[in-house]
Amino acid sequence: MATARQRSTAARREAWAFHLFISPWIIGFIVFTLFPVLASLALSFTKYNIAQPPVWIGLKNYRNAVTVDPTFFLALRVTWTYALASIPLQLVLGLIIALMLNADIPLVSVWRTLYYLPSVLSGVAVAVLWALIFHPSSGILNNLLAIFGIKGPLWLFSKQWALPALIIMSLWGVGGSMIIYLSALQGVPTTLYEAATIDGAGAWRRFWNVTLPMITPVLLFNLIMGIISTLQSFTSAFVMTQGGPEGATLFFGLKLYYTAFRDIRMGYASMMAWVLFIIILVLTMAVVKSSSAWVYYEGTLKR
Amino acid sequence: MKNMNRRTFLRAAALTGSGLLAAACQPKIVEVEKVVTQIVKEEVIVEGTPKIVEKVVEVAAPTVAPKDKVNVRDIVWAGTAKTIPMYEMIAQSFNERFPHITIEHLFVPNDQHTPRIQTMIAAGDPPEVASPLGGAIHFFRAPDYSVWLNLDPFVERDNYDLSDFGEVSMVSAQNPFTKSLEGMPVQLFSGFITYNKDLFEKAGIPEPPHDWNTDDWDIEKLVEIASLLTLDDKGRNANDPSFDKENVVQYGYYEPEPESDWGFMWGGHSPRTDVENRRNVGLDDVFIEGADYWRQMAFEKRIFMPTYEATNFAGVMASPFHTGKLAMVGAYTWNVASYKDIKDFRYDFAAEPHGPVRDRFPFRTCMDQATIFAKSKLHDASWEWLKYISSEDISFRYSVDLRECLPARLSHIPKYGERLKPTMPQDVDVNVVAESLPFGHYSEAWPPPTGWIDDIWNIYNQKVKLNTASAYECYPECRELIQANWDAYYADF
Repeated sequence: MATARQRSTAARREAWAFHLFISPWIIGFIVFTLFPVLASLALSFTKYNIAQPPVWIGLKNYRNAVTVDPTFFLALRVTWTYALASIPLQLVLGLIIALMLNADIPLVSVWRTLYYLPSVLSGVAVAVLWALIFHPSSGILNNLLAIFGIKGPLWLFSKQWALPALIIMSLWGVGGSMIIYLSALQGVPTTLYEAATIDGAGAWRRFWNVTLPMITPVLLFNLIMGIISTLQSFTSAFVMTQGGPEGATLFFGLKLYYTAFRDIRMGYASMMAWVLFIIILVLTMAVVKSSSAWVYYEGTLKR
Repeated sequence: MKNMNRRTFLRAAALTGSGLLAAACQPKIVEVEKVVTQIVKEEVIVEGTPKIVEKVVEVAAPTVAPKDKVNVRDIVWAGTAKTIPMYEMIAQSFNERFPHITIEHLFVPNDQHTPRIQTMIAAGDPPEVASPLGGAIHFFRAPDYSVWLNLDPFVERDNYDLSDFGEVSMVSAQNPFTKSLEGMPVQLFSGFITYNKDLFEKAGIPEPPHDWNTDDWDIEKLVEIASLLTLDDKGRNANDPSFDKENVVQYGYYEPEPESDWGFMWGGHSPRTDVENRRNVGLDDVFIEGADYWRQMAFEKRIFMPTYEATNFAGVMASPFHTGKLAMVGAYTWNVASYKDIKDFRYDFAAEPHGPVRDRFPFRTCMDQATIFAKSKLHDASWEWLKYISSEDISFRYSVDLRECLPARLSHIPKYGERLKPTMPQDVDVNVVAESLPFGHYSEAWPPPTGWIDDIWNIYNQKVKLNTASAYECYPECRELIQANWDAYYADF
């Protein structure tokens, strides 16, 4: 039987081993994540053009954003509109496709692969592809509409249609959430469906009262991931529209990029990054808080 | 080794250590740094009026050229398979004249050039020279700092003759705030009209003049010709009462970058800054009038191709002009290479028309320059390189041969046509390009990175370019927003 001293030595050795093996990650986290994050917070209170040391200006960046910069709220508005439209569409479309691919259909694995493939393609390549699709005269979309006698809009050259075009494009990548829904659907116990069928529930009832509640944890996950990724949207606007026309697609992430790397105003860009972080944090916390009302975990009892 | 005793071992170790120490010691570069006084000019506001005042400052004197070998890094954008060997060849010929100075080119793709410079500056290790550097030079200038070395002491010390460089070049090479020289002109780009000779011949219209001093070649004449050469799908021109504006198949004129040119032509100031007082926005009423004139021609009369239609019109061709359905286009020297591919129709170059203000033309002269980073430790060696590539001997090769652009030296301009002509498949008047230089305006639109100017200007400018608002409707509001931006920025000074 080990003595207390032996146990203490063994515990210390184990602790040493733990710290030794985890230290590369800890060091990397501190150097490449924590420090830059804290540095950007400090920089948000400075004027910093990289050629000279940062100059402390207090809350001036935050004040200028609200009082002087007309494109700050424009970018927030555009990003918010984009998120409000594309997140529900992505959630619903992903679920619909997952439900279809959960059925017993021929070549189901082929279909699943095909629907998943678009989400693994490079963002820039996808953006270039969709820019061609949306071309007013030579694009596939307007040519298809012309078959039905509809004159397609100018899409990316139109202030009214540029953002809807990017929203449509965002649905291209629902394959990622579809796969997650699929795994959740396949985890729903079949006994529940059998019980519901015995009780006389039709297809819609089974979906609404069995399927949907059982996959709410995955819905929550996809919702939170959707909020985070959509509010940070950048690639499509950067490649396809550069924020135009007339600022209609000036995403907050794009304006942040321009501020930092085109205008070399690192202090102001850091402020924008923190504003975005706080918005995403608040929204995520609100969703998580609300989840107790609509998310069901297997085994829990709601009173 | 087995029989080595302690004494022998210690002797061997001492000898080895001494040898390594001696090998590790490199000869030092002796930099003699002196401080001299210099008079610099500064813009101040006195009772609401900007004034240039002189003040005495202490600056580092030009460093003594090191006698040991030095490596001057020159960050170059857009090196290609064709141009990289030429850059290296020029560097080699420089090294033959200055054996102790090696030029190391850092070739960076165009879109990565400015971010790369920013990163190197932020890391505290910028290269010694940037050449050629175009509009990006202005990113690193502001009232309170410049990353570029003041070259005035060097010019003065070496009595370097700048008289062969034009006014536009010298203005562009100056820091707009301190008026100190911060670059050496090395490459120039200018504008002109390229026109489709076949379309003119078919319509029976005289071709536009090649002489830049033609008084009656003005905007009204351009509009008159463009109206005759803009056709709908039934072959009716824009003067025909039944001209179908929705089905234009041939345009009379296209200006790819109308943003500041048309307002400038009317006599206005750049949209971003008033050149006389950089704390104020330009975008005056005269500018607005000119900008809206372009809009009316593009959308109401439909004789100028709107910007957004250009991609549509061009289809798979390199540009709208390559389709053979565009009579005239505002071109720049960087377009010349693409014209060499045109085989389906005849084309030539012509002078741009002047605006209502006689000395204003709808194009800008762009100047790429060679600059030295102020934080470089090799000022003198870098200065030798700048002098070399802007010299009488090398300047022509560094511009015309390297980039097919205009030479930076005015005395070389006549040779430009001789060099370009044999490379053109068609018989074009290349002298038009050479003679365009005095007529372009300096791109005073370049602001320092001070705020939200580009974000604001792009939004309002696109309203006009897409005809969702007239210039009269939206530019006054834009003017107020940009001015607010300038006020916020200069509140710190």
